[in-house]
Amino acid sequence: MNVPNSRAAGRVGMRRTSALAAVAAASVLALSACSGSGDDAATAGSKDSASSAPTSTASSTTASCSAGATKLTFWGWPTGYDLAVDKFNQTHPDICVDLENAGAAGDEYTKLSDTIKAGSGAPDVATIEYFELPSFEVTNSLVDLSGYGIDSAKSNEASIAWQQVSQGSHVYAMPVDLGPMALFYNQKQLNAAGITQPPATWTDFAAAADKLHAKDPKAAITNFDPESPQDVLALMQQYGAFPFTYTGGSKLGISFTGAKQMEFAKYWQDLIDKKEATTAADFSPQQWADFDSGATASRLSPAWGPVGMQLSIKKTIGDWRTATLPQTTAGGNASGSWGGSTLAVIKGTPHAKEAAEFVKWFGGSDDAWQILSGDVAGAFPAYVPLLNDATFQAKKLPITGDSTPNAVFATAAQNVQAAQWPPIMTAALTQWTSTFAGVTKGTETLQQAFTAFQSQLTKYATAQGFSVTGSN
Amino acid sequence: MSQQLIHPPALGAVGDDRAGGSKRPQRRRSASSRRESRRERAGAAFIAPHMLMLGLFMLVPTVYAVYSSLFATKLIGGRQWVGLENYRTVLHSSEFWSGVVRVLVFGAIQVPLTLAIAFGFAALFDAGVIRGSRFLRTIYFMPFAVPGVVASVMWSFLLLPGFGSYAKALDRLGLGHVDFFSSRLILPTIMLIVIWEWTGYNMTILYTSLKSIPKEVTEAAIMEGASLWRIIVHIKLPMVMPSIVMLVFLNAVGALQLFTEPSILASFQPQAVSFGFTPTLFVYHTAVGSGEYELGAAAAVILALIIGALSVAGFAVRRRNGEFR
Repeated sequence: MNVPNSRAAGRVGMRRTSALAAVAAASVLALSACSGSGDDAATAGSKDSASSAPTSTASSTTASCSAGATKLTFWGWPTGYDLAVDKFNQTHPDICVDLENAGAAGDEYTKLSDTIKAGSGAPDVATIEYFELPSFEVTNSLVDLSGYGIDSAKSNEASIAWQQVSQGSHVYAMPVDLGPMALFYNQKQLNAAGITQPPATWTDFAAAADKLHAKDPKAAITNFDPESPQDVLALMQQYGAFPFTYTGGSKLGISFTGAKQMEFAKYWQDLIDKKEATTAADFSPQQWADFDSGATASRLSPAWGPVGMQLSIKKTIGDWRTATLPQTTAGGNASGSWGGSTLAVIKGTPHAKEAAEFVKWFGGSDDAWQILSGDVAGAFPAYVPLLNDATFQAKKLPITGDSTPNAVFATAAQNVQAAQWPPIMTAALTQWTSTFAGVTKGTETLQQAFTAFQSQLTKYATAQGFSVTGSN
Repeated sequence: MSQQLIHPPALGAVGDDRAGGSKRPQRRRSASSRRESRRERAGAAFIAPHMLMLGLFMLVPTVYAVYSSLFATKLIGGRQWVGLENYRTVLHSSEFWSGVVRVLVFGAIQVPLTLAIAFGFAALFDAGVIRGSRFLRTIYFMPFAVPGVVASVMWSFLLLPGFGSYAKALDRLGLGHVDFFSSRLILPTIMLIVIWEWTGYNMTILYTSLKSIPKEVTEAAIMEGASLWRIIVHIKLPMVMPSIVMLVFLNAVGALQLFTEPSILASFQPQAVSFGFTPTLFVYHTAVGSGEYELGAAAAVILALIIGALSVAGFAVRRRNGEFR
């Protein structure tokens, strides 16, 4: 708040800008399904300091560059990317990649679209999450990498990752990490309620919720945050109820009120009504406290979830196990993906060939993944050789005791259901929270929120010039 | 005219006395007007930097906002003229108006509270009944020196449910689990932060006003046997009323522009603050979040008109009270 008198005017201006910066950071928290690192809103990255002499710990990635090398500017925010870029620069003497942190997620996208509009200042390469790619494709801002031999990388990527970076024969980015989901459950809690096997279908899951709740009226089977769009969309994807269809151009399908979507909404609303699913905010202290006290017995977790989770709980470390998500039909193995990002080459770059070589190496080489899956970056791969790697699958975490979560997540990565992101995700994510807040408060049902969001988003997309087809 | 006898006509002056007479005062006038214009030039030079900044960072952007609010940029189809369409959209947006209502409610509670506390402290310090008042005055003023962003981050850490020290303390005292960020408490929480930030500032202004009340008035009241309470409420309060009226409007305009605090709280708990929680957040989210910059511009213009109307009303009230003479 600012009192507009002349003495405060200077302060006001200052407050306004820093507030904007803070808000941008805030929206990152709200919007970014943290890509690559276990803690959300990880904005740690490398800041180049041109003046200081590089030391072994400096994050300046151009230290090892030779004078004649082709220079590429790379915008990225996930932790540990600087280490991978360093490695690339050391092993590719003719290319010199300069990593800059232009902010995380939404922050970076705003800057990116502004520089593209302005026609100067855009990087050669940028980190873009899967869901945001179509927004840049629709404005024709990304280089089609199919002309630069990107296809050779296809066989090494999880099929969902490739599907989300390509449109027909065009490939607009190189997949890096992925957030396949699995059922992460507190074995002791479920066993105590007489549930010895993790629920295999959503019907079983609801039955287990009843059982758990009957034994202890304070117990919930899981937490479902209606206001976290990427979480909900990933679960819809797994359920076969993904609400968007888009294959480029001006035709867009939005369907939050179709039969499958309403079935999904009803399923969760019933659990919420019975107090068998809590609606705490994702990553909120409340949510961690409930996981840790046993009040919430499971988490529908993305692959990058456990690493962050073990920093936020104490008492139940070692009690958590991983299983395939419950299925709509018995015997299936469908999964959804929450988060994950790509490297795209920005149109207008004079060095598309070198940029393509770099992104291919970054997302699809053993060298890069050795660093990216390491302790600093902790990214979960879309890179199949690593997904299939026995050592990777056998990795243990304190939170999961003697079990091996990666084995389950790696299988899930290969079974993520298809999803076509619309080119209006920034707006959809921004508008989601307000529309779904009533579900958390208990003043509206998930079905009502879906119905409201359907008309809201249809209105927005139509105003943006798309021809929208509604629910099927 | 007697002066004409004292001052001989200037050399080369031709014509009769009357002509000279008519010239001389003219010359005198022109001399004084030269002085005048020199003074004006100096004055203009002094305010030029301010005017330049005002033009560059206030007027130009305002004109640009009005201009761009008449267009719409579409993902499919690009930029086009839409006339007043954006204004219609904003005026029909329940999200926008609920934000306006929210800040009005916010201001209606926060402004009187802030001023009441500020006047209370100012009066106590002015009465000289407290030891170390200079030190305390500085302490109370300090929150104003803390940028709003920092203050909001600090308070968020103190109040976060299940994590913040205050929330923990309340829990320990057996007052149960208080969620300062819940939809019911979020507005009072922001009021708390804003009151904490601005009370010291308002107190300082009121303290200065109180200090300007002549000593004789207070002394006379004491002679008459008035209690401290009576002196403060019935003598001093009416005498600083103009300052209070001014502060009401300054604080109210600030309240309507509420942005920093809720946006920072949202970074701790995104769910606590909706898309159009306040009108300025509505503008920001519409422009930057949904990428509808022109619609955001229209909302900003409408908000500016609302605030402008309030300011004009404020000046009208103060003029009626006999200020600006």
